[in-house]
Amino acid sequence: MTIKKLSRRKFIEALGTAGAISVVPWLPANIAQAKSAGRIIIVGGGYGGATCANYLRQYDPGLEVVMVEASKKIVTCPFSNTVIGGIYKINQLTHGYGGLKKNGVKVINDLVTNIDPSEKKIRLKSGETLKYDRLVISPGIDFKWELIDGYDEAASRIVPHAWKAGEQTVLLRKQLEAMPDGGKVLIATPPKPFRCPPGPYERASLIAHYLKKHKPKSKIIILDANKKFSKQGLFTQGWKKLYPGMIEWIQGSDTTEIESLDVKSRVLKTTFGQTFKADVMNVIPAQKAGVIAHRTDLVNEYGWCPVDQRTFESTKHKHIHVIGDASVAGAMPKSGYSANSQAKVCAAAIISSLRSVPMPEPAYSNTCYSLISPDYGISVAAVYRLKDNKIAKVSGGVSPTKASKRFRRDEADHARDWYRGVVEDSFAAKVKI
Amino acid sequence: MRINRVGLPLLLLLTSSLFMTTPSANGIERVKILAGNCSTCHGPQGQGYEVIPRIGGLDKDDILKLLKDFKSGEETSTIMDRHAKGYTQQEMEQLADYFSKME
Repeated sequence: MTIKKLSRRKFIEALGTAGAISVVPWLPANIAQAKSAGRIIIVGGGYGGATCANYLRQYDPGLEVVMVEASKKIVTCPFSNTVIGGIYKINQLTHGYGGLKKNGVKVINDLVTNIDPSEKKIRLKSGETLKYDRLVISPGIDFKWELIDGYDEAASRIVPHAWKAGEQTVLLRKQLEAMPDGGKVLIATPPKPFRCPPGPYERASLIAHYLKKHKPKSKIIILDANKKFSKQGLFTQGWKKLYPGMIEWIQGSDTTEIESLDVKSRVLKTTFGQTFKADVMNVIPAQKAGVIAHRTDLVNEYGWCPVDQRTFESTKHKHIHVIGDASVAGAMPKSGYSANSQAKVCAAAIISSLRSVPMPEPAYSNTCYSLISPDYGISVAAVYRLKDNKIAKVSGGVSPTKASKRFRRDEADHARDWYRGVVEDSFAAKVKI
Repeated sequence: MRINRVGLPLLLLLTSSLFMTTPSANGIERVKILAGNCSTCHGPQGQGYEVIPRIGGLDKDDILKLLKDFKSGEETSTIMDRHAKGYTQQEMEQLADYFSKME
């Protein structure tokens, strides 16, 4: 009797202090929280795929989430320019999937060779087939190799693109180390849209940071495919301040493209008849959605994947969602951070759909820091909402043009923390930089 | 009899609380979507890093005041002004409440 009364009082006290939520653990799990039956397969373990897998499990710990990724580790594109500039080592940007596994994600290291949207199954290189209830594809980018005569995957082992981090990043770094003082570096940028809009310009900055210290007579040329670029005012201002005379930007035009590249002699020709020769070349080709998206007929005429921008479900195949660089996501840039944001919205959309409840109104964001030097950071940030079924910017912008040295240093410090954050939030991994 | 004395209120409580929590437990609460925009920089538990501050477990009113001041420009920042302008008063309140309950 006494015991019962006591326990009842305690029970009510607990209710009073912690509120009604404290009742939930008393209930059987299937009543306490609605579970969504089903298997979700994620194709691709980059920012989009990993975040989606991670958040699906967080939103619904009962869900079976399988992530298929060919590589055992991710080398992040964000911050890879710091390796090229000699600030960090590639292993500091290399992260395993152990954290995701700990969060209950099943990670399969294999390559998806075929997707059958009508049968809702995927085939792996190993020969295994897997059925899914919902499929999320986050395949990143591939290159339109056919546009530059003489440049293909094999040629990129001589003239790197370094637009997928890893061996390519290290190769470009080694070539810069081997270059004599007074050498010429050429960075050719791709036409829009491409992964990481400020990336080529951050790269030029951090190469300049290295050259200024070690090979100060050297020059950098940016051969741009476009008329203007991301954070242009801020980059130009930073270059003038930190690297006067070192970086030359050649503006693109509608009529000029790279026509051919001879990787052995490092000579590049444009359709306008100009010829460029450099000691170190970095040619970043035009881009399209990753190859599996093409093979599955998920792309539009430009090579990107149209989606319902509320749920990221493909407009071409039901129950397949496409997130990250490969998707057409309104005003959002193609960035790892965007992919992370889209992945969370997509995870909420999938769970809502499986439970046949309305999904919450989405909100998306992007934040990208660029380092002009280790002590000089600039940023772009935005919050997005769905307006007329398109992702539209509601706030944001770039760092102020007028800012103190201290402000730029603060932003550089924030950039390092931003990297720690976005990696932990996406891959459940701790960064050591 | 004894069972009824204890059991009935208990059952009522359970039922009412179940009714109260079902709508949010069934779908994903919207604040989680909003908070997802914060955790990317502030960390999955809002724990913060070296210069990006902790927001998890702070006082609700403090978080709310900061967000409002970032939005109005009263509080200087490097980037939070650009983010805060993207949220309504109500959303800021939800976010402040959500992060204040984190450990």
